[in-house]
Amino acid sequence: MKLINNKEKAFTLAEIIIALLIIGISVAALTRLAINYIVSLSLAKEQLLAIYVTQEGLELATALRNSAPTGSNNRFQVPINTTSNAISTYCLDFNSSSKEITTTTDCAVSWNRKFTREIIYQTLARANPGGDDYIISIMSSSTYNQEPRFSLNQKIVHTGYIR
Amino acid sequence: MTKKNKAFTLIETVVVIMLFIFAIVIIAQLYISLTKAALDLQQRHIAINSIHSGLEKIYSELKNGFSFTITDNSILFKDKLCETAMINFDSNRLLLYYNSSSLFNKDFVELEDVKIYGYNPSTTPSASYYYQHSSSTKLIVIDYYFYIKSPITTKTPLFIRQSIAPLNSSKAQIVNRCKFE
Repeated sequence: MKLINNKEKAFTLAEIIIALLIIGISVAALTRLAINYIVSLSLAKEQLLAIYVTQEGLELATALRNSAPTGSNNRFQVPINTTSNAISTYCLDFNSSSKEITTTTDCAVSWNRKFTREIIYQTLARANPGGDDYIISIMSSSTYNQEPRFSLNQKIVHTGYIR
Repeated sequence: MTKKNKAFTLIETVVVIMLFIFAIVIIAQLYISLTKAALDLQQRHIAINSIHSGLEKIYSELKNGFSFTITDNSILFKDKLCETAMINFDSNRLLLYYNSSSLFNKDFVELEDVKIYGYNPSTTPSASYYYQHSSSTKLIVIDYYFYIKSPITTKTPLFIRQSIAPLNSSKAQIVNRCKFE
């Protein structure tokens, strides 16, 4: 008969707890990844809003330029520094009660105050040497003011008479 | 014969089983929550894409349109091919139509109300560069009161304001657009 020295060693409680801890940490890390993914997807609504907030800025500036009163010395209807590359910043909004475009000091967008929007006019050059037409770049820049913060910019170039 | 078998004690086994069950329950709950959230987000994505494509269609048509007649919930105009077109909100069916075609996927999006504003500042007709079409609409503003539907959570409101300055309001953009009419 052969003598058997059968020494079977089972896991100790400490080993099992450590193993469970490692599994727990791995699951937590994977869950966090999944949650981050979901949060980034849930921003889709805010990103959609940002598109329309920003685009509205350009449309308001365009409508202002296209509706300057006859004889106006400034087609853009907001004071613009015509020095080359000078920047002038304004906040424009549409008042649905009066149906007017307003220049405001409060840059929070009236229909969604989680966003602020600035309209940035930059003088690029004279359109006609010696004349009064200027080429103006208009940038609409909107910022989402809640976490996670992000900004969106859109730019358009207009020519307008400024005297 | 020396045989030394070392196994779990009853207490060790019970503790481990309890920990295991506890971990499984937590993981299962997380999995269920994440699956629900993912399904909800998928629905919302479809809704948002439907809204975006509908609004882009409206933007494109109104940007290139002209001769606007605007009421609180409809816009009658000429499109870029000089054809008569209409955008109107049916407040009974809660649907927004472009030439009788519904613009949003009603399975995912509910449109509670639409308000339309036209900006027509009074300017004297002049030959000046930008406002030859002095009586034309310089800005169209549309307020949309959406609800995004979800099979899991309650529907969520979404308000969007869309503004469009038609190209036609600037003389530089249009000269005899309908000359072949």
